[in-house]
Amino acid sequence: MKAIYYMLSVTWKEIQVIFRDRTWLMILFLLPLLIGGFMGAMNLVTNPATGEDEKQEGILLRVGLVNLDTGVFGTEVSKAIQDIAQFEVSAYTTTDQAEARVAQGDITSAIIIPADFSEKINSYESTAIEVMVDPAEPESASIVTGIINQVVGEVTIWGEVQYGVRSIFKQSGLLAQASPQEQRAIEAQNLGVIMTRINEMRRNPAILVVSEDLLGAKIQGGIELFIALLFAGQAVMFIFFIVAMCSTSLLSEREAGTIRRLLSAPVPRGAIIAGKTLAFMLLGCLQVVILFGAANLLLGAPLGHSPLGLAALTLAVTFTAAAMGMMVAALAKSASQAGSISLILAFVLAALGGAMVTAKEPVIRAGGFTGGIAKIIPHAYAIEGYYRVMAENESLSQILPEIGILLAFGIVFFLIAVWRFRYE
Amino acid sequence: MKALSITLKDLQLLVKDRGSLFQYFLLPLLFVLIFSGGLSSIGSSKGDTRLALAVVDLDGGSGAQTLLAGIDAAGGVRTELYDQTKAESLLDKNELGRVLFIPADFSAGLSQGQPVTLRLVTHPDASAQETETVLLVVEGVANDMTLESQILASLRQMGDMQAGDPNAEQAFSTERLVEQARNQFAHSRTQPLIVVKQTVPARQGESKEMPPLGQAVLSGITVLFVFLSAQTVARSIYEEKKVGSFRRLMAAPMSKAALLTGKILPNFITALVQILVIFAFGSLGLRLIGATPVPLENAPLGVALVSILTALCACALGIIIAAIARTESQIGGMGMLVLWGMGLLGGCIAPAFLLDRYLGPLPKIVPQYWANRAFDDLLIRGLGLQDVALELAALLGFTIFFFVIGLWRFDFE
Repeated sequence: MKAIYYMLSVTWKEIQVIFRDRTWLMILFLLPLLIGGFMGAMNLVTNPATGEDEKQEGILLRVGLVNLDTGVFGTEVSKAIQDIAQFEVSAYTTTDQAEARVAQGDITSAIIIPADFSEKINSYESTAIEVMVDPAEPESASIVTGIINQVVGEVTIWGEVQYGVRSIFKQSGLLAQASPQEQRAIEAQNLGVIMTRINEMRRNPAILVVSEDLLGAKIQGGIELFIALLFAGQAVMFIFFIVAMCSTSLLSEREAGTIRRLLSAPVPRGAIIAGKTLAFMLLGCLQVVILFGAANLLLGAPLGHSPLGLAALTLAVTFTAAAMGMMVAALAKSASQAGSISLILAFVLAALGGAMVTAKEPVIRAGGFTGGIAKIIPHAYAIEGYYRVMAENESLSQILPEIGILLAFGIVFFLIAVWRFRYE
Repeated sequence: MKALSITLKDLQLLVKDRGSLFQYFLLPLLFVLIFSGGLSSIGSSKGDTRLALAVVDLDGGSGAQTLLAGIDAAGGVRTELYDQTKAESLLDKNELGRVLFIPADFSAGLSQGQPVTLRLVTHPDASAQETETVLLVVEGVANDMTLESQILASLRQMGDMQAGDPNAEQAFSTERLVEQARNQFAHSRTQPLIVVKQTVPARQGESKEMPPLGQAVLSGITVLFVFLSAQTVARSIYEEKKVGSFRRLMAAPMSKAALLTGKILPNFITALVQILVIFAFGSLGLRLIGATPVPLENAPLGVALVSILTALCACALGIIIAAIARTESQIGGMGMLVLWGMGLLGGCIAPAFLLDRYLGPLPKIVPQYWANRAFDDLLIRGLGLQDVALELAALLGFTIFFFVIGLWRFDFE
């Protein structure tokens, strides 16, 4: 009973010390919010799954338009491009002007409609719209090209239908027999048919592809999943920053002689380590609450249906991080060496464990070198666990393997710490 | 000479500090590896890496065959046929992640212009990323396929408009319309009416292809880490103040300017070496692991000038942080937060221009934006020294501004 009292006393003292250290508080709480918030917002505005209304409020790309065609198709494509909410369009009269602006990085891309665009479509010959992109902004390049592909899809239908109707009239000889007035009427009918078709295409696609789960429920777009993964990564990366704080705290106490003084009191050795571990676990839990709370409120990150699963996993992750801190303290020679080792560990393990999110799913699921190496990194299991609960709505029982592996890592770290730590 | 002694002492201290060495030299390389996708390129297989997609073809008609051939030809996904019962059972057990069901009326529906639905059924544990990839490919092929039915439906509508005219009725017979639509569709497979061609601005004698991602991330990460070193400058000055060695140095016959120069010079040299190491890795290291290297040979003089100004600007920013911060925790916490914030705003990690609607010209108020832009102009856009004059002027302006404010606010005591 007394051991628990001593342990809690050490915990309480450590918590007071932690909350006086503003440097670490900013790094542990504000930095992940800043990075996660920025990256999350950026992905929200660029994701194709974001609703059309939200998208109109979102991304804005500066594009140049060069319409060298005086025909109807060039005019229609130009109009369509100028109506696109995501574009701020500047018109240029020559390709060179636009190319110079793209080359200087003043506009993200230039859309060039060739002089013979309408003529080629009218004569049913292949033609091309050039999208000249800024190589320094590959993200905007894919967005602009994707949007222009959609515009081109409709113009293609127009050109094809126009050619089909004209061919039938021509081959049957009806067009040759028709008076100029009748020919104009046929062209007007042709245009009417085209417009009906394009409107119909927009309302009811001829082939609808639906993505369902096993019960036939529609699967939502990927952005919520990405936000969940992003914040799981940020949380895990910054929880493991505790390693530095924890190890330097323990070693600074040893260097200052306070541990020796504690040991002369009737405090069991284990209570010192356990008390400190508990304090840093609580700090990690607070990080998760604040980070996931903010992510949920500000960016709509899903939190899943299992608060129990989230809580158990968080306890396992924070225990592993604190135990790793204790292990580093046991193996390092000085507080400054522990700080350096912890910093290296924090970044390298975060990178290899997939906490610096650059993919759309946890790195442990990837194949090859990256997926293989992730299987020996605790971060990877922590992220996988959070992702399963938050994005895939799994329960505590389903993430027990991840929790078990994390606890195993934690216990090994803790045992090494107890075995190797020199209190004197 | 006296300033050089301080410089030498600080450089010796830095070489002994492994944490700082890691932050200066290895951490940026790790970031380049991750964000350029270089890490994934190590040990990746060069064989058929396409995703396998299980398909249950309940139709068996020509429409379904066209769809399957289209998916296989699109790249990224290859189809594997299953019978319905087996596919459903494997899907239940998650031995198949997802199955595409082609309905029995698919070909008939397409030829009659009726809307048809393809179902992609996914197990909850299947990778969401792979599902998204498959979905994009299937939707793309489906869109292309509808061209034939769109043409046919339009021709039919035109035929209906000609009702009452016996000659036109004959011309618009069903067989004729189907044949016309089919021919046009076949033609569009080999010679699409309109294609979208993506190019980059031409540099004389160079290809017009898009450069790989590794090149685009290198300048951002370099700039981010060079500016993060401002914290080291600030901390080094603060340490001297804390232990009183600054006051002692002030007692020596040495000007304040020489003193600060001595403090800045080692960090300036380190920042230059840092840029050199990152760029050398971008050029040689990426090549070694099979990723595409960054072409440094485009404008060596320009790159050198931008590097020098960026390093100077970061040092000057360090002085300002040291002058404004009152405690070590302000340098560590606020400094880190401000420097990462500036880096994000300046587009070092992710392209801030995507948030243009919200941020407006805000990124331009941080030097990282200009340094980033200058490196991009020289390394990726292939521009020359004269093209980055504005960026160089902006960096110089920031450097002078930081020095002036830093010296004005600096408390040597």
